Amino acid sequence: MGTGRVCRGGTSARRTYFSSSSHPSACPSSSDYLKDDCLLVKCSVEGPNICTIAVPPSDIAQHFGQLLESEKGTEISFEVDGEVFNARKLVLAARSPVFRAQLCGPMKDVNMHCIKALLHCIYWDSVRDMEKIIGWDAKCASTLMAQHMLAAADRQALDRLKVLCEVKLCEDVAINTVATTLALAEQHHHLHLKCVCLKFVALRQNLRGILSILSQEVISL
Amino acid sequence: MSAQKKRTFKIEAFKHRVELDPKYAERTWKVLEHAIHEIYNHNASGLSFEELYRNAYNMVLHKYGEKLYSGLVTTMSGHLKEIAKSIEDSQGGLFLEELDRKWGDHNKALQMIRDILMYMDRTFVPSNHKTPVHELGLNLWRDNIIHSGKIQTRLLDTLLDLIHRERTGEVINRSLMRNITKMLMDLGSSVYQEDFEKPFLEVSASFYSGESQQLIECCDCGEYLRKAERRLTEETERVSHYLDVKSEVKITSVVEGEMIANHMQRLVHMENSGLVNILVDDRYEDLSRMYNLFRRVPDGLSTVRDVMTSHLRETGKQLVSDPERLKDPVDFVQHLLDEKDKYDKIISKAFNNDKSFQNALNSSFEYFINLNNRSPEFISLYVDDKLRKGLKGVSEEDVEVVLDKVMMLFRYLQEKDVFEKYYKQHLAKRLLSGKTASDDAERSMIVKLKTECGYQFTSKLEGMFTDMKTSVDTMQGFYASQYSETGDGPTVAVQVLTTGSWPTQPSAPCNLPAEILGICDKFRTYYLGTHTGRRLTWQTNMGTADIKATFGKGQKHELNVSTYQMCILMLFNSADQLTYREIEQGTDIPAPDLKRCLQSLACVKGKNVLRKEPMSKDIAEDDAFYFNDKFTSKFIKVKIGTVAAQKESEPEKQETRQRVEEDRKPQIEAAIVRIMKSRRVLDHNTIVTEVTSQLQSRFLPNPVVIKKRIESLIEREFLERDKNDRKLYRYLA
Repeated sequence: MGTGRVCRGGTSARRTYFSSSSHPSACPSSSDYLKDDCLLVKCSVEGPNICTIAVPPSDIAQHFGQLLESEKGTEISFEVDGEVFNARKLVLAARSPVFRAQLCGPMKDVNMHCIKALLHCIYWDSVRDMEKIIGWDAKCASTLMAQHMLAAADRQALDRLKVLCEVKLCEDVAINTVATTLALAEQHHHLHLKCVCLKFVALRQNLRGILSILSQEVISL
Repeated sequence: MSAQKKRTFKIEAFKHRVELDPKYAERTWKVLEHAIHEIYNHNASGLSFEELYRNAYNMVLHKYGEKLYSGLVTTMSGHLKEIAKSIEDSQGGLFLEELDRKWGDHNKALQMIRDILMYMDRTFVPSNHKTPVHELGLNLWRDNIIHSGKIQTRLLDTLLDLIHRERTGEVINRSLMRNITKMLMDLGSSVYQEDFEKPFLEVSASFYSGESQQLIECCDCGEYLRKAERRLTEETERVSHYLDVKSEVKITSVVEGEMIANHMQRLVHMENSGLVNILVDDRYEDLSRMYNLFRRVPDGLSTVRDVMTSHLRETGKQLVSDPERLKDPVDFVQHLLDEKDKYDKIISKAFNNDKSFQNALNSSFEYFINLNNRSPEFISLYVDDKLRKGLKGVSEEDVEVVLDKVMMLFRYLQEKDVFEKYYKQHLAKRLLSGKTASDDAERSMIVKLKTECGYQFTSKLEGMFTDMKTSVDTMQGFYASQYSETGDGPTVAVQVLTTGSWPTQPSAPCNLPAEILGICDKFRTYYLGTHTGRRLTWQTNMGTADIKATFGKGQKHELNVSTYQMCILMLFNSADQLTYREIEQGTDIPAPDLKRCLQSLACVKGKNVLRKEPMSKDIAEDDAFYFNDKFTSKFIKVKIGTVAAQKESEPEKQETRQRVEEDRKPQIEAAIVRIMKSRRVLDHNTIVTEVTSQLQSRFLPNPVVIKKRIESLIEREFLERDKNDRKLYRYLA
């Protein structure tokens, strides 16, 4: 055997391990490594490290939510509709710069007002369980709640919550609430929400219904 | 909230409050304005954040953001103008403190105001492209306080004055300085730079310009550098304590420029204390300091390097041309090695093993070693001395160290083939006289030469060693075959040398005494019996002999002499007196050698086994020589005039050089043929360059010689000239 070739998979790079042309004296057929004119090459291939550990999703929100429920180690009391809720300064300050300024600054505040649902969202970082908190399943109730929350979130500088409310309001746009929602969107510069509302209003079947509601409201003023 | 707690509670419909009250805005603003006043008057604790925040929030929501913003600007500016006045009115030393205190107050107030107005900051400000509250507060401070006419200059002057005082040794309030510079940085890096840093750098430049002028007049080089270094450290420390970190590189470059760059030449060339003096005195600390300082300025290191190089070259040149030094080659080479050691140490200890300095050192050595064309010979003599006796009692590693150092010098030689010639001669003498102190050291040296120059260089040298070993075996075989003939006759130890390997010193053999001839012939027969087809010639100029001599009073001595000397002495067995001419005829020794031998036998005190008349040192034709009955010596064994390697006399030197030149011719020709064979057609200058680069590891060929060789090759039809271009040559296959 004059020339031996070994193919490497993939790149098919060829290497000439023996070549009889340039070294006639070093004849490989007399090599100890050849048996029956065959050369056996053993090689082992190492593949990349694949990690098969499953990483569970983040559970930080659950932990903080449970913290709210347990009411342990709280320093602040909130009065909400005659009900008192306790919260921790640190969590509020961490979630909202307005709370941070209020709680950590030199100015004293005796009364703290808040919406219960807002407190819930600060700790749980979600608006999904609104119905449970409100205890009222009606759709318009959740829309009203979202409207309140939108304004409150805006005031308290809770940006992500603002977006979640916006999403909720986009989903729940209805004839009896669209006017308020539109005004809210205009006031707080939520362009997308404004767009959705206007589109809804522009639909002819909705327009009459909306106008009749508005006229009622004007009369009641 | 747990799912069980189901609370029903009313959600009110979201109502938009439309404010119809025209005075609403004004009223709300007044609340906020009052709050700002209270804040500035340190009464913030009585305020309700919630209320104020809500008010500001409502104003923005109801589209009164503009009023709120401009109100803020006016109110804050008003307060700041008051503050400015109080700062301006502060007396002398309290100026900075008052400024610092008011700045702290302002920052606290600004923070609270910003918190209250956060909603405006987040919504109204960006959409109306206004400056955010915090930044606004800083800008107003800058415009009303820092850039106020009276304060601006006073601030700068105070700061610069304090720094100047610290530079002259006073202690100042560093934390106060820190606060002030930090304030300037907070106001914007352009404020820091324009209102402080630029003037600071200018003032520093003139300060250091003055100081350096003063110091250079009264300090010597080392002292000046010490002081400069101290100032640099001081400035760096100053920056770390109370200036902005970005100022460090700027102020250090000012100091470097004023103290070092501007006085570089003067420092380096200072009389009695400049670089040359420091080098000579091996003052590592000063050298290291100079290196580190000069490294910071452009052309600093090259200045140092140039001075070092020219000094080295100058001293080297003096060393190699000093006739006193050259009298003793071993001492001369030792001096070279010492000088190299000295500078190696300097470069490693003080110059941070800087490669460019190493290169400068190497090129300087290369320059002056080759100024003296006897350097190759002298280096070989040094090695010869060491390998004979100089390495006795030295450990193996130290031997290696010495030889490695010599190899370093060897590398500098341009004429390595000259060295090879001498080394061969000296090695031959060492081997034949049995004077090698350590076989291992010899071999080690050969290995080093082989590594450096290749197999070609050392193949013959190795051949010499082989011959010596083979001769030992041959002698054993010879005496084994002569077992029956042992008697009282002289014994002979023969070294058979292969002609090609050994330095040729052709000379006809002299007349050996009859007593010796017998055994010599026996050896010849024995050798030629086992090695047919070879020719043996006795080299009588290279041998030694041990003779037992009995003198007048019966004292017996064993004399160790050269073969020539033996031949001369044996003549006196049959005659008591002989003239020079008779000796010459009887021995057939060539005249110069004969004269030297007779001198060593008759004229050297303690070794005068012959007596000479007249007693002069010179040998004349008619001088008579007598066996010296009265010879005495403390030693039983007397060594007379062993032919040691000495530096050559003028004619010998010329001869060696000629041989070297002769040897070079074929090497040049071989190089030319090699080059032309591969390149086929080349012009004259390229050939010269190529040949030089091919041969430079052995010697530097002379372009004139190259030209002659080319012409010789043309004659012998290896090359031809191009018909059109006389400068072009063509290879003839």
